Amino acid sequence: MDRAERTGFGVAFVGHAAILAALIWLGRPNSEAPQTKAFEVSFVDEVGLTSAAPMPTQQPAAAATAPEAGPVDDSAAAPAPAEAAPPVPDPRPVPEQPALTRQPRTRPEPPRQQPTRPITRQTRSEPKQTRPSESGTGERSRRPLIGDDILKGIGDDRQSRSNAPPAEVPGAARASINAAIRRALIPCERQPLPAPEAGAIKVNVRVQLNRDGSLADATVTRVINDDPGLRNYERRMRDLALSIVRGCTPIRGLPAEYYDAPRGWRQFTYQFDPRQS
Amino acid sequence: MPTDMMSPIALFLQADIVVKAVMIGLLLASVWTWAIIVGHWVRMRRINRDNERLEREFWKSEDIDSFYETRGRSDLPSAKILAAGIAEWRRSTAGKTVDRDGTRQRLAVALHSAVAAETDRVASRLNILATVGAVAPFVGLFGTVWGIMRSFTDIAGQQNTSLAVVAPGIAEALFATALGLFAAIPAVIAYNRFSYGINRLEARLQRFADGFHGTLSRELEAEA
Repeated sequence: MDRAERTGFGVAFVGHAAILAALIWLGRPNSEAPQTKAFEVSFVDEVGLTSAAPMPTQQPAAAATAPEAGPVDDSAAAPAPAEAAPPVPDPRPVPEQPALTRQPRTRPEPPRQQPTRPITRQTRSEPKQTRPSESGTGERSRRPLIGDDILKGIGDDRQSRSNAPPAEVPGAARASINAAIRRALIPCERQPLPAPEAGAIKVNVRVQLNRDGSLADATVTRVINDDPGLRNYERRMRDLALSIVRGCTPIRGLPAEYYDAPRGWRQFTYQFDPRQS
Repeated sequence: MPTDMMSPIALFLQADIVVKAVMIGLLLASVWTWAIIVGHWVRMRRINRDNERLEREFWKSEDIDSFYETRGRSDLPSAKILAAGIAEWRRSTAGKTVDRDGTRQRLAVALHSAVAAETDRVASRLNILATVGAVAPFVGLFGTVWGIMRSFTDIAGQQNTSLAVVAPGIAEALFATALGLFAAIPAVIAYNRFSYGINRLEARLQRFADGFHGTLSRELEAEA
């Protein structure tokens, strides 16, 4: 082995090592690319396509004029003092009015406050509003100078709001409800498929829930399968979708006020798509 | 996942033991091929350049003996031919009577065999290139066939025919053929190229030997 051959071996080794290193280096960005963390994106209709306003009522709205500062009339229909009323003589009787129309039960007497607690909890904004009525007569000195009726007459008028649910669930709320449902079902979606290629099959399930989030009914409405070769798996995918819905259904924490609303969560269609989950 | 699995290291590590052995062998063959290619190329360049200079100076020089003593003892093919011719000349003309015809023939044979010997010496490694060029694709093909057989056996075992299961095994098997071609293509190209170079060198040495034979013949006549 003379000098030329030693040179040759050296060059050959270095060249092969260089090619290998180049191949590995070229292969690396590909392997790094999928490592970017996935984050959940949902397309939300921030603006509802249809009106989400509350049902109109026949009752006339309360006077939308700012009340005059001065002695307050205790009657319910009287305009309450608003922001321009520094000397609040007695703002207290007025807040009882909203509680009266919104939730008749919480009004009458303090002892009944306890049993109705669950109801007041579910309607989120309610407890604070009912407190004045429960606090009775003794604590007048602790109350802030500006009363709860500060916004009276500015749109948020309890007289004009009925007890009926909103006409439609607004877009953002619907998106969060959908996300909550999906999150609740994800643990059950992680099941082995009958075969990897069966993941191409999608199953639509119409789910009906009770008010407490438990399952009332689940029926498969549609099986989406474009590949005739996978027909054998359709039945098992149907069963899988139903078992997912049954397995994870008491879904807690959905906003109760949107249960009965049109397009609320009393009934919805759940699509089991293994390629997405 | 698929792109990650296409990295050569990953393909090698996933492969069957037989396929691995084939891949290692082909990689070594490739290294060896390139070592021979580079070494041969370097040596041929040096030989061609030095040969040409030696021959030019030889034809210019007046005294063959003194030129041989000063320049003729190197390792170059031309110098070897020169040495062979001069050794034969000295042996044939050492006796009292010189058989000119016999000496001429012996000189011709000695020069001819020196040319052949030098050509063989230069071309000694080229047969390896030829072997690698001819055999490496088949060895790679063997690795591929073996790997595909194995992956089909796996499919039969898993009873799952989706492409995702079949593809990695076939990819790693085909990697063996790729390595075989990777080793064979440079070997074949270099072999053809170097064969041509060696033919040229042989023709050149033969011309030099003929010229030297003519010179010695004339010396032989002059001495008579």
